Amino acid sequence: MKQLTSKITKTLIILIVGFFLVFLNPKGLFDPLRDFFIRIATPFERASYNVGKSFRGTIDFLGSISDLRKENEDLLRENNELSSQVAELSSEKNENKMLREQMDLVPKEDFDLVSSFVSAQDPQRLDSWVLIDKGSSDGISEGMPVIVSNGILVGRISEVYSSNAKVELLSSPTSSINGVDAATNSRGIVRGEYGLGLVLGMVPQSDTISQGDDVVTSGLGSDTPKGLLIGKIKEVRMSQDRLFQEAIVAPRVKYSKLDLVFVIKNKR
Amino acid sequence: MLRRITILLLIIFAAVLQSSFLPAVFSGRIVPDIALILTVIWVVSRGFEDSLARIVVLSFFSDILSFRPVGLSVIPLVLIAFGVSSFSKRFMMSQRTWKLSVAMLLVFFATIFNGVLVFFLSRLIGYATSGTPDYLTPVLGISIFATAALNVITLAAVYFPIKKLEKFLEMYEFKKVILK
Repeated sequence: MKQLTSKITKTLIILIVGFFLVFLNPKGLFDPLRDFFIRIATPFERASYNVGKSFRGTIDFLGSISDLRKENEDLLRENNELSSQVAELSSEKNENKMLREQMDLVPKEDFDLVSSFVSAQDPQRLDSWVLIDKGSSDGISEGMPVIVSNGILVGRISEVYSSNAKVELLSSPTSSINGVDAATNSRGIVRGEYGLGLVLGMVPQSDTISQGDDVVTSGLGSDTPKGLLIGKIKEVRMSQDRLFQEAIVAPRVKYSKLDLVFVIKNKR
Repeated sequence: MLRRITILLLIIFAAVLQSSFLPAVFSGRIVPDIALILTVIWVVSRGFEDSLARIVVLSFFSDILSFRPVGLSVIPLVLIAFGVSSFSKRFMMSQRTWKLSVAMLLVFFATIFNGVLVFFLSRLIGYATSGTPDYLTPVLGISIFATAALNVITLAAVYFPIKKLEKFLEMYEFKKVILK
């Protein structure tokens, strides 16, 4: 009985202290402590993340061995088709450049980029945030957009530490950013939605959004430049209140497999 | 002393694995919860009182490295430890395989309890601190059962190696005391 009372007392004390600590977190009381431990743990996390990724790669490779032969045949066929498309694409490249200029989309050469490796991910929700190995000492600050090499927006900096930063991914339910249908110029808000990836919402009924259109950033209301690619519209539907249209947007990259990312510090 | 340092390093190692290695390997939505699994193994093999300090330290490092509010993990883990200790006293058999089976069953239900508790706790904290429920954005859905199943498999894989390691560390310390 005495032992049980002691057990209950200890449990209660820890629970009370736990609750107390949890409510102190938003005041930033633990940020220096977190910064200290994360700085120490980052090299280990980075190594561990790489080992995990190569382990995953090996598993995927072993699982796909039976498909390799068929894939090889397909690739040969595809290679022939691609060769014929190369010539066609070179002319389209010029056209694309011209269209970009017309739409005022900014190519990535215009940004001051900081390259960074992903060293950790949210273990509870893999599409919520990632940790990168650059922080305030590299000039990173909150709100900066984060892209992958080919100019695709993946998220924004949400917390900054001296040598690390937390990137809130677009697919996080707390993320929202102004987006625009690149084909029709219809504006809306891209937000993360669990299980669906991204949703372009708040699009007025009178505007046109179509399946297959690219969604890019509109550059309104944040530090995110105009014209960064977000994804492709997969499905168009009515909002729940039936006042707006919304579209499910398929991201161009798999957020759980991010490795090298670039933080846009500012426009050159 | 050496044993304590080794355990501390292992706890930090587990927290690093939880935030980097496991999300990279399980690139789906379901990742095993190392902190919960270790909590159950420790309580089953060492009892509630002897595991408490380890659980608190593990929760702290888990929260720090996984960017959760410090103190959030300790609440469900200590409750789970309390529950596991009460149940294990009633149902634990002396045979090793029976112990493992009961531990597997406990991990399954502990995962569901943990998921539900963290979901409601984070909503509560979200409302209390920022007025929004999405402060931590955990998810409560069918995936909780998949996570529970994955935790059971992970526990089965690490149960005996962890117990062996504990025994080795105990023996090492015992030898040192004898030699003195």
